[in-house]
Amino acid sequence: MNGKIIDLIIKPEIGIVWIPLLLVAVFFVFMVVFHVWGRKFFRNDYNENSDQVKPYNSGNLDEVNYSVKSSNLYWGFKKSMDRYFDIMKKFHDGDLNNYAKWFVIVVAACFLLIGGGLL
Amino acid sequence: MTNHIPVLIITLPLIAAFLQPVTGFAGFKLRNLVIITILLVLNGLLFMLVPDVALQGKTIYYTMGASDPSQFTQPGISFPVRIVLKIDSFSLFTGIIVGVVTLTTFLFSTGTVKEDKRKSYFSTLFLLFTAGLMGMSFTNDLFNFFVFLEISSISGAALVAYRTYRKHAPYAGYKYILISTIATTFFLFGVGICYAQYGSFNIQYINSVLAHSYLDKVAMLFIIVAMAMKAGSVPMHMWVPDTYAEAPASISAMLKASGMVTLCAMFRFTFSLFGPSSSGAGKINYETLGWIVIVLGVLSMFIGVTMALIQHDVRRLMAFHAVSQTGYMLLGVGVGIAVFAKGDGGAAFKAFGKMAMVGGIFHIMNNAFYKNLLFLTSGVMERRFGTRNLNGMIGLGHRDTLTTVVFMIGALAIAGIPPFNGFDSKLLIYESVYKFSPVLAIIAMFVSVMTLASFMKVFYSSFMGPRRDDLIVEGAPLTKGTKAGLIILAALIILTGLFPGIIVDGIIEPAVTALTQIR
Repeated sequence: MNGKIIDLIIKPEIGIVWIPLLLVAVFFVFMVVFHVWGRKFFRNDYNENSDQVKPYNSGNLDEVNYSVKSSNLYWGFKKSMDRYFDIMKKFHDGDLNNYAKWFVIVVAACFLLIGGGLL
Repeated sequence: MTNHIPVLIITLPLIAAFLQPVTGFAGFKLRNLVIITILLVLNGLLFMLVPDVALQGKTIYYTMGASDPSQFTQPGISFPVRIVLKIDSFSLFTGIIVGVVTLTTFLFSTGTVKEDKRKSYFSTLFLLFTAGLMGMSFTNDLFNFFVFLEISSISGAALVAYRTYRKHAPYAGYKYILISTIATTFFLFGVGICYAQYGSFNIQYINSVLAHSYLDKVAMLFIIVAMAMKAGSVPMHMWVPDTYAEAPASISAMLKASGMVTLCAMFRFTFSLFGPSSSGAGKINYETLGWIVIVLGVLSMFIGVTMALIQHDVRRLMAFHAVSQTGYMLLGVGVGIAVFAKGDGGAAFKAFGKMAMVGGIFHIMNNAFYKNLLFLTSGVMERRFGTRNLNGMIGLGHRDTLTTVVFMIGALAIAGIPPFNGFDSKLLIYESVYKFSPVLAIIAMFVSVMTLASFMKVFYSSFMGPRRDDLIVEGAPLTKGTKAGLIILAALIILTGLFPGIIVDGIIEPAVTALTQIR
């Protein structure tokens, strides 16, 4: 980053630097290292045409139901915020009348600010 | 010829739109070639203006129908009487976003939107939409802005409902036009109040004579809230997922660009129309206005990202993220507005307010690139699996390497991971907002983490897992145009991410200077 504004957040004295070409070079060096290293040390009995490529899920080779469904991801987080999401889902009910109401509410709130001399 | 660039930028897509029924007879390929050429010329014209407008800080006026279009006022008349186009660094910045987005989305749509050879509904509407957005970017006339807003709203609604054979698409189009009508009607109320008092639609002229009366503030309220609604700010955002999800992927990307243009218009009206007038009469309370924008921004960020996390429809998920990202822009610019006229001689504005605005405005550009890329990749996913439901997707990474790589680039960029462009603008926002209020900066960072989690969910669900060819309903390889659209956007994300200094110095900082320099 060499811009005037960006200079404000680049602080070499505390180690914040931005050298793009170095980033790209480091990326490619890592790619080469992993490629070479991988060929030498990773397992060499990998066979693409065997069952090795199939998912292993606690001994269950049922491919169709292998994946955790998208709707089940972050279940705990969603469960803990059930009340919040119930309210939010009510607001997003697809009814245009309700959508328009929010516009009126925001306009009314701003009117109060103008009326109160705050704006 | 170069004197007429401002009007050419608007009229080229407009004329091309009305020529579509004719070029449609020449065949599908030739028609697309003509449109791509026009969009390339359009981008060329916009970038031709960068040296003069952005780098040297010139403002170009174009008075429609005048003997000398470059003059703001005509001989013998002290105020502007015709429609005036104005190109300064900020409007050029908006125009460049529209230019790049329209080119890439049209390239993508050449391989994804099916249309009978003799019909040109999609291309006609697409070009009208482009003309509307370009007009909104460059006009200096309030009523003219309203006309372009209507053009973009009507063509946008028709494009949302384009796939009429689907159950919900026409209703989504209806929702879009109704919400747009509410917004444009209130915008027109605001314009009417200004015209009734000052007898002109010219933004610059109205600002120079503005009395900042109670009535002016009511006009400001109608105009700014209407723009916030069109931009999809919480709590007026509920229409966004409903409409973005039903539109073709390329149109979701265009709707997002439309939201960015209205957001830019909102910022422009805040400063250029309702900013301190040269007559010295009164002023609005920028601190309160800034806090209104900040509150809308924080609500948009938080509600957008949390609602995105529970979605299973990939397009609705991305639409909620569009709302969330709008929050970042509002937060950055809101902080700038809040300290803009603080009674400290501009010290806070210089210390971090301007940086916050640069971050917010830079985020508009970055968001236009990565959000559009993500919408386009969602189009590929929908095409492959025949559904938008993430539960019905798996293992796409085995088939579409390009889509997988560009999706990852877009997802990492939106989550603010270096060295992609989202990181640069978010860092500017975090740094500057932290100096204003640490709590706001922490909320912004938390939202970034949630964004990453949300996109990891999409990546895991649709790209990872075993290859399942039995789920694929459309296995044809992507066309060259579709690939070109994706690659250009991915390249822009990487380049702006690696070299933000060039973009910030060349385009963003001049745009913020033009915006805050009240004339």
